Amino acid sequence: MIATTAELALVAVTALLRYRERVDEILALNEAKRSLPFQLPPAPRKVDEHFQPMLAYFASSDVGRAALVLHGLTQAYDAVCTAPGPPPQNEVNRLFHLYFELAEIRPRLLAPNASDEELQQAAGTGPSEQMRLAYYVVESHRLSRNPALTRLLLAAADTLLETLGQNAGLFLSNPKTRAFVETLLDEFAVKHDFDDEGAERIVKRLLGSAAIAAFEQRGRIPEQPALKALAGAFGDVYAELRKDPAVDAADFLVGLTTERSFDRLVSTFLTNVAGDPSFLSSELVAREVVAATLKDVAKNVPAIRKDPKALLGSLEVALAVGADHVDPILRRELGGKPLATAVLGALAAAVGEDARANDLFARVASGEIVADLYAIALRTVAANPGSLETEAQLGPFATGLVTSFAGALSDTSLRDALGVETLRAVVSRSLAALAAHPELLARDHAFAGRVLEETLRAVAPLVADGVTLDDLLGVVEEALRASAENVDQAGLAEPFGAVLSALVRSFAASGLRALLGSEGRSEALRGALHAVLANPALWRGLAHDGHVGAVIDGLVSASMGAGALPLSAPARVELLQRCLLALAQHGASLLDGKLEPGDLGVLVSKALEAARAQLGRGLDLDLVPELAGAALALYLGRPFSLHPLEASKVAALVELALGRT
Amino acid sequence: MERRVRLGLALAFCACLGATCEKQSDRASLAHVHDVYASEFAETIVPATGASCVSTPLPEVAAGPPAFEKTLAAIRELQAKPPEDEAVSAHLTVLEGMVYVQSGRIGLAKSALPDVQAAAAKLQTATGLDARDALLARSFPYLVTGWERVQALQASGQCAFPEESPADLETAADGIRAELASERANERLASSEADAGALYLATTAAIFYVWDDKIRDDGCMRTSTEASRACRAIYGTKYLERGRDLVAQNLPPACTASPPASGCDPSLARYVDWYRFLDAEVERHD
Repeated sequence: MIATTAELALVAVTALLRYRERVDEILALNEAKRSLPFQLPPAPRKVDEHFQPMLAYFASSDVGRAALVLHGLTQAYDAVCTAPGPPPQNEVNRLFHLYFELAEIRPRLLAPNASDEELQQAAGTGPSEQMRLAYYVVESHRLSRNPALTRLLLAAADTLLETLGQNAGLFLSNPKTRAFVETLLDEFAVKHDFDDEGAERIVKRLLGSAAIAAFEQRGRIPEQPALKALAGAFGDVYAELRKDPAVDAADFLVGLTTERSFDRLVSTFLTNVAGDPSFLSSELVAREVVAATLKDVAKNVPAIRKDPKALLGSLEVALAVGADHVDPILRRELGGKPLATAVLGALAAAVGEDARANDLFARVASGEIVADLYAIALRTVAANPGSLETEAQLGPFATGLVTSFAGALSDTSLRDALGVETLRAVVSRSLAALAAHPELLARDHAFAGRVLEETLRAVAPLVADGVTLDDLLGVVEEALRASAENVDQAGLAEPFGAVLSALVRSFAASGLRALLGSEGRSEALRGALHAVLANPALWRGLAHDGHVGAVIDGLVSASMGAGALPLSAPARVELLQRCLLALAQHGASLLDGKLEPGDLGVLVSKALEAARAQLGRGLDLDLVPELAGAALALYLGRPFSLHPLEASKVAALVELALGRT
Repeated sequence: MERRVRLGLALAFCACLGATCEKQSDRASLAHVHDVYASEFAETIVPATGASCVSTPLPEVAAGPPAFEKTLAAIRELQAKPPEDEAVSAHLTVLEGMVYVQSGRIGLAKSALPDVQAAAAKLQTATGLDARDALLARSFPYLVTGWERVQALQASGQCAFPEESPADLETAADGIRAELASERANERLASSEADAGALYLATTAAIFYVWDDKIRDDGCMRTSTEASRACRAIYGTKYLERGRDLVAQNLPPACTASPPASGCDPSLARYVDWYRFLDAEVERHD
């Protein structure tokens, strides 16, 4: 029966679209019956009950008598007192004004307690215009007297016409999108028979977003779109939340659907997720996950309920990750809830806790950041089903993950250097980079935070120095990716921080901003990261001995000076990178204390000066960076004293290096 | 929303290429009128303080465009290309009249009176019942009379009216009462939960009665308590009772029960408040 009703409803909507001029008339008539606010006439104040007390006051009170004289109302008072019938109007009013003021009396308003002053105040602070005006609204031919199905038929036709115009009919003739309308009508008018405006608003928004997504994604819609799961979930959620007086179900759901990111969520259901065959077979499961998450957030997770971007982003993530991991994510439960719902709850609790303690994190961790964290958490859970399968395991994992990122933002000087929006972008991109390595996160979820903290602290000053956000993000991503891919990840944070900080300081001190530009400096930073990855232990040792600064300063100075050779900026950056790599490969002697850290820069400078003599003798400018790296590698392998510096030894070293390039 | 606008514009452009551009739909235009009206209503709700009798003076009327200016402009724009259905036009006529009444432009309300009254005949519903707009149209002359008098009393800056006659207020209130009685007798009123037009009118009439009672009370102010009592005894609580009973007649039983029953629709709160207030005032006099 249900299917028949829904099918008939579709036929009706199709017919309505065919006769769209008439639909407009019907809808206009419907609109004319809209609830509208009307004011009641103003009410008077009750004053007659004060008449005799007023006369007594002026007769017996010293203040009253004096006031009469002072205001020249003695005659008026006498006229009122001696009037045989009703007192003269003007005189009695003048006396009342004076009396009310002197006796501080406010005659009562002949109106209900909910006075207009209070209502006006409430009207200025209510959550929405609709709610603010509710007290004043005069219903007309209320829609509750119309069958729900008729209302929703009209609403559906109206939405499709409004959104797609003359193409509205195509939406229904296409079986791929027609099923969505069928499900909407089925859920909202047949199965639940919602009899209120809230349901109509939700249906219109859902259908409107679906129409836009279908128009924009035409040609990319799979045979059986998963959009039905979304319509079903919204129907389930609305049915349940309507019973809960603590939740305004319509406001919550309509609020979600009016977010811009809702259109993206609908599009995801319509295309990407639906394309996955394993997901299609799990449509009902997906519907349950979405519904459970919405209900849980509405009732139990106020932080996310108030942040629709976070909720919509998280739903999108749940579906995207769920489609990739149907069994480990969509089908599993934890604590009586779908696993995806439980993870979001645990994550929200952790975010809330850290946000309370860390103001900067509170400002950064909203909207998409929550969804990004959720994506990482879900992928990690999916990649490690055995180690994160109980509530006891999930809580600490979520807390650790969030806390590691909160820790990275504990340094408030970052906010001054980067600003909240930039930090948000940095964190978002960092999370995206990390999402590719869920197995590592499960093993040590704190390392990401440490790397981010060290990297941000090191490179943040570059932003003020003109490095673009994209370049900065590139360095941060590189550091995170490199860390995630390295087995020695736990030991990388410190050398990354030390080397990047030294480079940034050196760039500033050398005045290289103009020479290298934003791109050149970030390229140099990336080169440094690779050099650290090539031998983390060496750089940790140098950092421990306090030599990183001297080494880096010397090599930066030598590379940028380039022995007065006319090298391009990229070539100078390459030169620096080759030197850093040579150091990683052959620099153990530095740790033995056999070399002075500052000598490396001197050696490279002198080697480059000597190389000038080799130009045209087997050397060109393109080969100079490689030559410098080779010379430094040779020197580190067999160091000699540079005090005093012997030019012949350097020349021999260069010739030997040239032979190796 | 930006995407929607872009998409809408694109589709509108496509439609215009194929044929002559159609005017905006009546529903959309009317919805716009309603949105603007609701928004301006929220901005211009005037507290009914009766402030002439208190030590703080009335707030000065803010300089600027008259109230509901945008609403009236939107109504005129829509009426310039009349909607397909004459009931929609009639609705706009009534709304325009109510805007004039509520914003104190009684002269304009009077000039709109014939059109508003004529609109009533075009506001028939499929159920045969008279809905809010039709009821407002039928009672519009009384609304104009009553509001005009109340606003004049308020504007006088006086707080007592011992020499005034409440005759026109009584006429206005009685007129509305008679209209509603006729509607009820002819079984043309919907339930209050479905259509609050009758209840709004009943409460409006009740407020006119309250003013009536106040003016009579002010006329009974005497230096002697006994003389005052004797004067008031002539009418007693007649007008307050009329108002209370008129509101009660249009409220569902659940809303007049004491204590209020849970079945009373929250959307009727304003009228329930007035009913309870009037009932308490009658009790106070008794």
